Amino acid sequence: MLLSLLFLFLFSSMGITAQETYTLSGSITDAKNGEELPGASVWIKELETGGTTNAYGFYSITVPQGSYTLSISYVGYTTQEQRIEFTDNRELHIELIPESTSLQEVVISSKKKDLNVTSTQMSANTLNMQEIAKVPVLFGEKDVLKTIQLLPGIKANEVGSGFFVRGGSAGQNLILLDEAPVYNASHMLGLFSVFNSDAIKDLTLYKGHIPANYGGRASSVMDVQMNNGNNKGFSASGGIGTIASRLTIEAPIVKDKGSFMLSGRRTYLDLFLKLSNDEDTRNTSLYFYDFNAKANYKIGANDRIYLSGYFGRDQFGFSDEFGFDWGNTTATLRWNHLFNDKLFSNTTVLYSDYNYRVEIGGDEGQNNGFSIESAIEDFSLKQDYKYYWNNSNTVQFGWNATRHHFVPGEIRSEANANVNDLLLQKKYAWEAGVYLSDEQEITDNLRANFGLRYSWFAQTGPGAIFTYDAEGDIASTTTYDSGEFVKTYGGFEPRVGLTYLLSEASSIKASYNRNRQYLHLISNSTSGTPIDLWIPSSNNVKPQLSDQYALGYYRNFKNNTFETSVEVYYKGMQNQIDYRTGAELIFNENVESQLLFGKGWSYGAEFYFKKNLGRFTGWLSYTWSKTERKFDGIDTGNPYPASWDRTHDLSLVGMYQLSPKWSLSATFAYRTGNAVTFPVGKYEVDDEVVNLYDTRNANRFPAYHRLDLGATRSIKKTKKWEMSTTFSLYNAYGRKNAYQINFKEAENDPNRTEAVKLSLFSFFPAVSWNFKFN
Amino acid sequence: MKTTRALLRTGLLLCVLFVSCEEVIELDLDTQEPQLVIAGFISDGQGPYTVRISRSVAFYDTNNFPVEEHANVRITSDEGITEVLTQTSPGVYQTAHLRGQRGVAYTLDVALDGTSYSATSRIPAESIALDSIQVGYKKASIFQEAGYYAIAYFKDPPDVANYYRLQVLVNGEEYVFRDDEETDDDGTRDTNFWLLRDKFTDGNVQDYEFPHRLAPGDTLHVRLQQVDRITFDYYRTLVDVLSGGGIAPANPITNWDPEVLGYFGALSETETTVVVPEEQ
Repeated sequence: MLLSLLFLFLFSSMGITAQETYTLSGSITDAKNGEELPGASVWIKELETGGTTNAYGFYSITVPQGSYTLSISYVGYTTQEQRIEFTDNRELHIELIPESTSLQEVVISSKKKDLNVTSTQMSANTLNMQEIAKVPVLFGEKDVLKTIQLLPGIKANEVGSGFFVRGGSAGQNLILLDEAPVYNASHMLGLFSVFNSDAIKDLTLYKGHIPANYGGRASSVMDVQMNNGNNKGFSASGGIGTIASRLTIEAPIVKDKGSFMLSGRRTYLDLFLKLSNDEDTRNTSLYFYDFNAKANYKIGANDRIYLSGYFGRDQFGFSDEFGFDWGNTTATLRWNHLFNDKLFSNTTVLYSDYNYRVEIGGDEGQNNGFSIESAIEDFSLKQDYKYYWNNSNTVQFGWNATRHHFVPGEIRSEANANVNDLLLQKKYAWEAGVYLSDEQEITDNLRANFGLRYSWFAQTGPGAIFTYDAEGDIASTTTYDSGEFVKTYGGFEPRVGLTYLLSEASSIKASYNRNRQYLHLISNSTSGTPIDLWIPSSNNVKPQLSDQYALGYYRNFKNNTFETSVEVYYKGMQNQIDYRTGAELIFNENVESQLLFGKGWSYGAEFYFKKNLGRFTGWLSYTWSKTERKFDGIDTGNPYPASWDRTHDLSLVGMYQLSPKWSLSATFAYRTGNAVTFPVGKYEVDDEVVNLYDTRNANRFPAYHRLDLGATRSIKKTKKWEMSTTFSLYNAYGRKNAYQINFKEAENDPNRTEAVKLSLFSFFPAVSWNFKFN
Repeated sequence: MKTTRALLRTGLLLCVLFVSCEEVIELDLDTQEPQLVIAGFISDGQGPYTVRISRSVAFYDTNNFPVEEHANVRITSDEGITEVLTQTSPGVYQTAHLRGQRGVAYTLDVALDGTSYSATSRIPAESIALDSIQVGYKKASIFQEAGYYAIAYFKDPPDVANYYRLQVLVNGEEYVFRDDEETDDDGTRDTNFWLLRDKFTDGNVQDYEFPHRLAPGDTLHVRLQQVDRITFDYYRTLVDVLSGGGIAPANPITNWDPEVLGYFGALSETETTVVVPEEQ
């Protein structure tokens, strides 16, 4: 039914265009470094029509014969106008000149100035790097993942790798770096993200109405793109910060044809540890590093190859006795091909790996150490097409296939270790998807985006596959051969988005989308640790399913200086995962028997007010929401709030250009405390006083709030050199936010018990020095 | 175990580095009406075996737990031997003659205020004795401060899942762990739930390292309990609660039907005592 509706819409506009038309296509790039500008706008003034560039800076529009004025614009760049005569199909490559930064017009916005109002996309947030650089953060390390948490609908804890989008759990976010999935996007237990801002071009987070070309997670998609590298000349940038240093170099391979970018970052906390008086501390290593690399090359006018990769690792260790390290590796090979001026194709080969390793050294000379390892590895092939059919229809279609390998856990021991070797059975799966979507202008005021995705998943052998009884004990065992299907799942994922323009500066949008998720994140912490486990759907674990409905009103004021929006949403989630009491999740061959399945739902309203231009810029975001879950095995089937449920969540971000040299910034965040379970009494067994618990998550942590301040001094030394120094103060008024509350024996009276709050980071100042050489 | 402690240490180190801070706070906590707690054990060791019946109190009350003095308490073996327990002090019920036998299942029946509660547990069939306790000096490392530490050795039977709990007394008392000798912190009392299973070490000689830092001349008393899986899971979930409860704290599992707090466990145990030698 939905499919036929989709095709009806798709083909309804065929044959309307009787007039002679031509195609205008090409690319829009940065004149200074050749970097493509995704989301830049080409506008034909006389026709009041136009288009925007795709992720590779390519655009294509259809124009009737005639002579027109083109206006090409992108936020942060000088708008260009160009007179053009159409008597034939035209290719037009446009280079935009960045607005001089000394003008000090801080620009924060979606890229095309009124895209937030006019596009059919809703529930999406984009951050650009200029924006991120100004926002003060912990340790002064600018971080896309930390900054995006200040936007409506996105929540996270102070510590922990995960984030929560519109009531979804931390394992329901698809995090892509140059299209490759990143399975654990954090360093140092979540204090930093794996995204080194110097290597990142752009980030978009889809909270709802997820485009059909994405699939695999129930809640959101975070699409991060790396810089391509300067193809005009050599440039370098970097910085020295309180706890980390960064260096990025970019240069052409062949001028205007190809370029590369290399970027590295490393923390040096461990170097300070070496200065400690305490031998234990001195022998401790604790650091992380990231390495990003990307190269691209144009082969002729219609083909371009990109190769990019990421490698990052956290290292923790204590001399030879103990080592713990974890990290991601991703690689992306892409081939852009223009079949003609209307059909753009991208072929991608992907690799992604996440693993951790623990090493126990054992006693000196005793050969009794052992190591523990766990990993997930993906190989993937993707084909995407974008067809610029006519000015009313842009069609996207494609497919992808992924092979997943899971290594749940392996223990390898030395000869004399009293621990035996243990290799938990590896798991294997196929995941695939095919999609079709159309972005359509139905009337001048009504636009629509229809998308349909079909996803498919197969758990495959080799291996012994178990079923479990109600108690979680093995009920039966079946052995499968290599490649043999154990269980397959599949289903449609429709997406619909409608935009109705009320005026030039205001619109109403509505959307619906369904997502299926075949991989599940198993974690016994609130917000993520390096040892969290990804497991595939199986004969025992069904795919997660989410349905989201959203409605929004968008209004810009004063020629897009102010952006405002209100969105309401409802999200229903099925086959959600929670854990049995006392569940053993790590190193358990039967981890599936430890799971409980239920459903969840979330609804809320998000308010967003943003000032894009002027000396004072910034935004205010407020979310009211409710997220509940319902499991037969928990609280006798009564709904309970998810731990990440927060009624109120407010962020205020302000940036002020004080003088050409100085800019100031401040952020304030307030949110309802996490839902937690406090004791409802205590009792005694075995001479121990034991806390008594009742309803899940019936209590709340105290409200969380924090003010961060920042100041940046920029100096443009010469035409080629730019420098800036950023000072930041995290938690300026030293609020002691609860990280943990422990209920234990009173310090000074063993006959009583008390609640003890543990908090981290009461103010933390930091300074970083950054440079740029062009 | 080592790994867990090293991970904890990682966390601790991170916390210390990033200036953590602890303070006592007053919370407005809900209070559940007093809940019934029945806790008892039977072993293959010498009786009497004790069953305690009490009730829970509010979190901010003092640790005075009301007892139930009018219960009818009885232990029955699956071989048909029965003994009614007598109340020796308020809320404390004890056996007089019963002697636990390995391989036999025991059922504890409690009748109280017109309701009958019942729980069953089986003493493991095979006795596993501690082979030895060795005390040695260890250098400072991430796992411990420098000092004398004890390792308990015993042989785990192969090809069968075994579950153990060890208990330690130092000079006849429960040990107190002090995180840092220099602070005047009162330390944490040993809750004495040293749990061990042979999942990763099946059939090997088990070497359980205790974190208790000993001094020459100290007397160390170690008791090895062998339990079945369900009792082990009870211990495990009890330890979870005692150590903070994690993200979704819930009461430990129980074998009481109908469900009440506490547990009735049957276990096999052996004991050994060693004295830390004086320095040469």
